[in-house]
Amino acid sequence: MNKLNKMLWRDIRKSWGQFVAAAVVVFVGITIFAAIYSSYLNLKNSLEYYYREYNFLDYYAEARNITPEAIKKIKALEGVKEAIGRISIDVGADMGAEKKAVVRLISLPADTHPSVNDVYLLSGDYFSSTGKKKCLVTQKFAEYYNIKKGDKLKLIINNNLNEFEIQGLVASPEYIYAIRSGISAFPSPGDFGIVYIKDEAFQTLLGYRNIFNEIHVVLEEVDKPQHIFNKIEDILKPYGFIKGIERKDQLSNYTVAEEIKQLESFAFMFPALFLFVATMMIYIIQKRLINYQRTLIGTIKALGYSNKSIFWHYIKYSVLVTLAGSLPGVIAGIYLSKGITMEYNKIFSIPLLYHRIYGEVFFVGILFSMVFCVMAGIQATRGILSIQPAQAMRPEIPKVGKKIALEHIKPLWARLSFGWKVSIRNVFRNRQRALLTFLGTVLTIMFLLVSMFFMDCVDYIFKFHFFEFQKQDYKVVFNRPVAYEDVVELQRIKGIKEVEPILEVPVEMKNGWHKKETVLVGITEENSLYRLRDEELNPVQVPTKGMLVAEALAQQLSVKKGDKLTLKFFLGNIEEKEVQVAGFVKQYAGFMCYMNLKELGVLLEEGKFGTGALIKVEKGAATSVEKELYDIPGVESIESRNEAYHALQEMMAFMYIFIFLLLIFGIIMGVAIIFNTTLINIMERRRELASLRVMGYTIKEIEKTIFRENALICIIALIPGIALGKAMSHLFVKQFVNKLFALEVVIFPRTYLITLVCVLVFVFLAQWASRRNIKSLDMIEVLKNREG
Amino acid sequence: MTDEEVFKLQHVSKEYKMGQVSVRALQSITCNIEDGEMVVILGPSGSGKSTLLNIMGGMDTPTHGQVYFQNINISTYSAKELTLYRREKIGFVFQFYNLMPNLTARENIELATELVSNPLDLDEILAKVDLKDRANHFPSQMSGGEQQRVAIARAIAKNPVVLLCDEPTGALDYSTGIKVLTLLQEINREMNKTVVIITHNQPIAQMADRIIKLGSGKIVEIIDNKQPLDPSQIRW
Repeated sequence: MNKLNKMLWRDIRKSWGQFVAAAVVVFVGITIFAAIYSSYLNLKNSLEYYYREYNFLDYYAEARNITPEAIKKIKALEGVKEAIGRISIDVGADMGAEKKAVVRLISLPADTHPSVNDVYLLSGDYFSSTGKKKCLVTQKFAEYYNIKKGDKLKLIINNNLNEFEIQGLVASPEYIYAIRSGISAFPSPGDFGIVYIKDEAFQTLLGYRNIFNEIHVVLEEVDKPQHIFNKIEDILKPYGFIKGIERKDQLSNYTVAEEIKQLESFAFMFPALFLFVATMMIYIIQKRLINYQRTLIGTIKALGYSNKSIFWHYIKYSVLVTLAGSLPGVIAGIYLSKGITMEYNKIFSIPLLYHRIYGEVFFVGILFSMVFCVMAGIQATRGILSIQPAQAMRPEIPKVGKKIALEHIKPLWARLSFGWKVSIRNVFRNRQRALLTFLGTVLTIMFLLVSMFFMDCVDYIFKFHFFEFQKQDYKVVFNRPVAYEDVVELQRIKGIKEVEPILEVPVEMKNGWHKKETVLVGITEENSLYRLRDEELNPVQVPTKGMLVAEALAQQLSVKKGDKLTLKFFLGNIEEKEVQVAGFVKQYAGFMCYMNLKELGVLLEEGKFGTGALIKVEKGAATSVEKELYDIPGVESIESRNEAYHALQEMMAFMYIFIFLLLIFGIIMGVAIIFNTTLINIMERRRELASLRVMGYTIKEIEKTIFRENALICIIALIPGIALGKAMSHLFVKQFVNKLFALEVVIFPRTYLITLVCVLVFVFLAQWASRRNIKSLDMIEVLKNREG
Repeated sequence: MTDEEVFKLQHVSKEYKMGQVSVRALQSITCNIEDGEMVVILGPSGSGKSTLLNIMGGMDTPTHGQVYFQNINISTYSAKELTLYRREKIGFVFQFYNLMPNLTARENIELATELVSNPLDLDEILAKVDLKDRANHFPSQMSGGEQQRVAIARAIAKNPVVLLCDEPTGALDYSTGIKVLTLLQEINREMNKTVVIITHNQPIAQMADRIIKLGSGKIVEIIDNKQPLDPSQIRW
């Protein structure tokens, strides 16, 4: 080892704590990076592989009567590789034990696997030509109800109970994120599943004769496929075309793709925060080391070492910190990513999900940290280049001492104790040093807030959605529209306190070229089980004319109050209608529109009717009511608000683990920053502190002075820290908002308090950890030595 | 300028700013130093002697005037050329030794030898400065005299043409100081190195071949000493 390297090595050993503190921050940042980035790559690559292997659709369309000829025509189009027709309808399923769910019944060819949207068999076998009434069921649904191959599944088709024998459990690239429609937002495997039956079974059961209601298409590799989609839609027009959806808008794919996109940006955003902190730390450490070694730098220069070699000598420090943090960070991150990747399959079902080690994670991770940290090193070291060797030999010019601004406010200044005066003067006179602690604290506060805000936000939104907005205990959906009076009849069931009929109609809303699919919900004026709120969270009722639109949906459609939206219904042959936007309602997930139930009936050219009901039960009557509802043949599904809330909570457990990890990392970083700045503070002031000791100050008194200074800076840092934290939270929220979700920055007062307490605890901890350094001050040695 | 001349200074001036104060450290210095000479530059503090040494050593550049080293004008050297000049021609000895605190005695010397292609033998130097058995000690484990001997060893290890010593005994007690001066005289006589010592300590001047007296940045007097004393005869 050459002598400069030896010096470097011994410098690091001497101030081991600082080196480790900075490396730990890099480590944490890169661990998060590698964990998220590897998970991102795992998900992205597995998904692509799954889609490719199982021929996931590029496009699908719904139409009322698709004939084999139409399919033939589409298949013959240039650029179309495969096209299949199939039947898909939602039916009720009797799951036993007073449970009803909705299943999507999809037809599959017998004998051969479909050439588009193939199913992945997790157990059992694919259909064979023999044996009717067999079915395949998606795994998540089967797991929820604990059903397996050989069990019977009771489906309610056309009001008749039909039993199908389960022949196998499957997964499909179409239902990686299995939600019924865009308004469901979260998957709920107890309420919705996918069941596949043979084509011929469908034909006989539902009277479809060589007719399909969906066509699914896989394309050849084409640059701009839009013209092909247009051609398909033209072909389908005479067959009762309803809508066409591209892969990017396919519900499951859209959600998974959004999640993957978020992962990618998080992989950089969170670590960037840590690396920013690490950059600051390295800059500070380097700058200090160089100031401390001015004379030594001069000597080395006098010996004949070139600027370049001295420069590199100091840059190596930041390179080493970076490597010491990032190498183990990448390894730890890759290890963690395995767990994270697998956790994703609790929400998604990607049977081909794999975990791999990617070279680019190493490369990007190390490069990512290097760019940040080495820049800090260069910035801090640059100054030594301009130093002439002889200059380095002279002592630094003493700083000019003058009164600080606060001293001019005499009534205030006069009231302060001597100790406080000293502390305040120290803070304001040594601005650069105070700035270190200040910045460190601001960053810590920011990080704590950003981590905790997620929890507040999700907590708030769930409470809003499940407890403020919804007040019903159950939502019942009928398998066909029911006269209003018949819905009200439910009131007769013993134990039911309130029944409110609802009318839910799937609809496409258009405003110019903006188009969105949603559900238009008809509720009664006196409705009290859906508590609608406007943008300012004031209670609102559905108006007699016009409709209320979810705020986020209105933004997506870019409509204002008073504008008219064109509504296209998917039911029957109802013409498009125009409805005025009467106002907005606040919703964070499942963006819908609301209007007067009677008005909606008129709009649909029907009388007053409902498709379901909101039900409130009396205390203790839940089980009996559930049983009664279950026994009504026309009831397709019964959704319990409580169960949905708990299912969601369980699903969010993953997110809480993630936030918890972030918080732990944030705490490590906070302690590291404040410990480091405290340590530097003490090291830089060794002479000053030793002089105080010589004068007769006790160690306790000196500690008190330093603590007062740090606490003062922390309090000053509080407001900018919170402001920065909020700004960052807004930035993160932006990443989350999409077609299905809206988020809002919500920070509870409790969180601010926790943040403040945490920071003060960090100051205590840091001071306690650096206590040894104050105690070990050797007065004589420090004062004698020039470099002291 | 003759071949024997190592340094030739012509009207060398130096001004620099320290904070808001402008200091005229040197004013039109003209002198020369010959090969193999032992020269003492004598002057009270603030007389500009350190500045002069720094300029001769290529650590600083003059504001006006020329400095020739072995007939080459070094006052026009770039920073890079000055680095090479210091590396190959000059050995420095400082008042406060300026040893690297985290390198041992041997490593401190190696710090210098690693820089040049034909350094002197490390063990021979350690023997010369009488520190063979202290080679693996860190500066903090050594006395001031020992530290200064390490610093001298470090300076000559590169086999430089000139040894420039800034108050080499300034931080040492009398007897240790004498030992260091004796060592410097030996290096001058036995190794035939030009040695320039700057000091404010008058008696030390008695060991020089030539004494350059400085005052307020100007040369006050140059004395040729026909009979230099052996350091052991010097008293202060």
